[in-house]
Amino acid sequence: MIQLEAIRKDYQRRGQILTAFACESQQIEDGEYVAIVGPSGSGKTTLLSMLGGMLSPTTGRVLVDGISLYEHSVAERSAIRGQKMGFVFQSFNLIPYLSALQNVQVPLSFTTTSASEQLERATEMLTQLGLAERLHHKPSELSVGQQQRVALARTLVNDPQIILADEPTGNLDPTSREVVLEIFEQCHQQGRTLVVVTHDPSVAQRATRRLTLVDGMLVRAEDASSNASPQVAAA
Amino acid sequence: MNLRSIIWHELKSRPAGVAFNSLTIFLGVAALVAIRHVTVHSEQAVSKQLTNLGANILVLPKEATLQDYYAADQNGGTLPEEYVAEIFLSGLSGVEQVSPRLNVSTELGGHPVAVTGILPQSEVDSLAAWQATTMFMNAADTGCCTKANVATSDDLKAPEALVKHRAIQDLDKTALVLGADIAQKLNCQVNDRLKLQDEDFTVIGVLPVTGTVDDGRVFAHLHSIQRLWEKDSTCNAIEIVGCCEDAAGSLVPQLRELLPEAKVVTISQVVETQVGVNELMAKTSWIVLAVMILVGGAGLAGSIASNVRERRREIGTLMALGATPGFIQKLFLGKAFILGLCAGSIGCLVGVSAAIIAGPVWAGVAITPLVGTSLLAIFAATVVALVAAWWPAHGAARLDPCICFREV
Amino acid sequence: MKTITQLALAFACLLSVHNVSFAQADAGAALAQAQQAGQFTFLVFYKDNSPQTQKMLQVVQQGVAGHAQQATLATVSMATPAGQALAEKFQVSRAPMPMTVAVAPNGAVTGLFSRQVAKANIDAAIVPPVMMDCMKQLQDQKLVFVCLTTSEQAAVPAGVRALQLDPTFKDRMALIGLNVLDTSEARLMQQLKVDVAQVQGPYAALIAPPGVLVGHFTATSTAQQIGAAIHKAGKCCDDPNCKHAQNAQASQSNATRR
Repeated sequence: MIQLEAIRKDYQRRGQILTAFACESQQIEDGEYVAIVGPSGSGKTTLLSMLGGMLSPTTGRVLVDGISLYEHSVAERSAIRGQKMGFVFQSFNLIPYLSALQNVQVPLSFTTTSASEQLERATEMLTQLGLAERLHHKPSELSVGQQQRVALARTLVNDPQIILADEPTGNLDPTSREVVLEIFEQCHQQGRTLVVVTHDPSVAQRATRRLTLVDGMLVRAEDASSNASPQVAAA
Repeated sequence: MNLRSIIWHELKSRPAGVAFNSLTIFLGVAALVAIRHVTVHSEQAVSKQLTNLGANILVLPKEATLQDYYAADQNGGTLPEEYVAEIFLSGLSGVEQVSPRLNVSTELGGHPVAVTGILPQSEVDSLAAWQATTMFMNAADTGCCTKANVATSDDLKAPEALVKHRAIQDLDKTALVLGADIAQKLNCQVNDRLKLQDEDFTVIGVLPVTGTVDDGRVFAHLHSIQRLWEKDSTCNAIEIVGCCEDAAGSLVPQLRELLPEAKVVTISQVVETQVGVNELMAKTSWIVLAVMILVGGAGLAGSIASNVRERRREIGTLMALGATPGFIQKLFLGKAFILGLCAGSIGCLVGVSAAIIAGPVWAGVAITPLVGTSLLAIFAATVVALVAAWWPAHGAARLDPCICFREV
Repeated sequence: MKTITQLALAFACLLSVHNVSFAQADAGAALAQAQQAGQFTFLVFYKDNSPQTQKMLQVVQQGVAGHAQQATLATVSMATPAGQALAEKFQVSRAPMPMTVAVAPNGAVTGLFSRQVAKANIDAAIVPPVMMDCMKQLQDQKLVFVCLTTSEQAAVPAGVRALQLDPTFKDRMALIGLNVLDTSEARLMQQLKVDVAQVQGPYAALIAPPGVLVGHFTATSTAQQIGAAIHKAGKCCDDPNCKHAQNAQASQSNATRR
């Protein structure tokens, strides 16, 4: 479970303090599929970074499974991320000089997983995503859809409980997009928690809950089944 | 997949960049190792020469330089051979040997050679002994180094004495002694016959390898060389061996007074000159090291910093995927370590090879690899690389991981 | 009057130069003849008739004139083959010229004077018989034991006799007797640093080639002591790097003959 407690993230620009994100309280239950929507600059990525333990809030706490992330050191937060979280990026962020197989092994290399097990798990993951023939291809030798599948394999190879995705379909064609969303569906069904930042209403539609951000404020939270229920978090 | 394989794959992906990044370190190490090799071997050669020459004094023509003497250059001017007798007749104490030398160039079997005319000691011994006896019977105290001939020394009997004692007891006017290199080039052995200026000579000895210019010289009787090359009674240099350093030192002013038309220098001056050159080279090698540290280090620091900038998204992604700041720092330090080690090793190899090839030409010394120096150079290169990469690597470890979300 | 004197002197000089400027036909023969006659020969080697040559000839001639019974002069031109050969024999063919070589009747070279010579040099080169013998033996690389006596018969110290049996030294030793009362040998005694009063019983002074006073030995000196003194004389100074220090040690442990 992810909990946000009195979170606020301020930036200082030319002597002015700008609030990038503020939220009194928010909770994301285990197994939830949450879409974060909102216009550009509304604080979606800031929220996702804070959830991922990569951006410390100015005030407030982020708790993941009861652990207050920002009360731990940077290195400890990295370890927590490695254990509990997986990231999906809009530009896939594959390492260009590594093959698909090696890219997928990267998160495992930060753990104590042996080389043979790394290889086995990465191969299995890529095979599941239909990339058995592309194991040794470099990202530049793969199509955009294939690259995103490699990125998804890399996200899932650690078997993370939480998946944080930033515009996962932003650069994809409709077919590839569908593949990614189906994988997200499967992850959701497997009981993982998904937090997806998106502009795309059709992607947000697939989530069980949608959080709408405007100017760093959570202006609306709505379940997939219900209509909009305004909820304003005090800044 | 682990830290090492990530570093290795990254390096492999941009070989040209890697080569360029390490170029300064490579060149620095190569130059440093080459200079150090030549310096060390040159020092050893000087020390060997010093041991061989003992308490030595050189009498040279006023216009000649030590370089002329070492290069067996006959253009450095001449001295009258009568200076030899003059030195003996002056009755200076402490004079052990007086060896005039005359150098000429010729071709033997298609090879250019320096022929050095030398005077066997037997031809000046009696003169020296007579003078010493008459001096004893007439003169007062002769000062330092009045010693008795109480034992026979066979030191100068064999032709090899030329190497160790710079003189030979007996040398026939048709005899030749060959340096090791020239004997090998001419494929000559003892008792072989050679022609000098159309006159027959017999090889009576081949000198052992000395690692000096003497290896390429042919030695013959001074008077034969004077006659064949029409040099009258002249020579290019006179080597005087004093019995000890003190004697050599005190002989110099007396010789200068006796031979005002000549230049009189002690071997210590020769050595000082050589040592001066060596010290200069040693200093140069430290300057090269300093340049390597500054330029190579700065260059590498710059390229690692640039590499960090290029890979910011990758660093952010790795952090998002669970990499700790320590891992990121090691990623760049590891790269620098490999660059330093490889550039140092290859530079060392090239430097040693260059020294082996160029050493005999530049400094007239044979070079053998110095393991300690080579390892030290590699170690220095690696340390320089690590120190240079420390700051950019530290910066990489402190990068904001959120950068992974930014679109490029 | 002054002018007349100067002219007379100049004429005398010209005459004397004329007299000596001719090289003798065979200086070698003259040398042999003089030696047979027990005379010292002053061989004047010269290349040309330079003023330096003339000056040397003049000085030698005057010097020899003062010892007419004991000495003779022979001039040797380096321009002649015979002169060259004689110069080679005395190893002065490449010495600075002019050059005077004083040769004793016994063949010892008692003086070598290059470029210039003084009358005192000529006088000093005519040495008394014992000194002449000593010089000859030294030039033959012998260890010369000058046995000193106050009588006609010189006694040899026992240690010296014992040393004569030592294979290291026996072929290199020469014994020469000297009566310390013989005033003609005063110069030799001065060089040998002999105190006449101390010469009581067997007493020998040892000179080693080319001309080093090794020491004085009496009846009580043993062969070992004399041997040790000889070896010590082979060391010329206290410099540990001095080659004679090493040679002397070597000769002590593995003595060889010259």
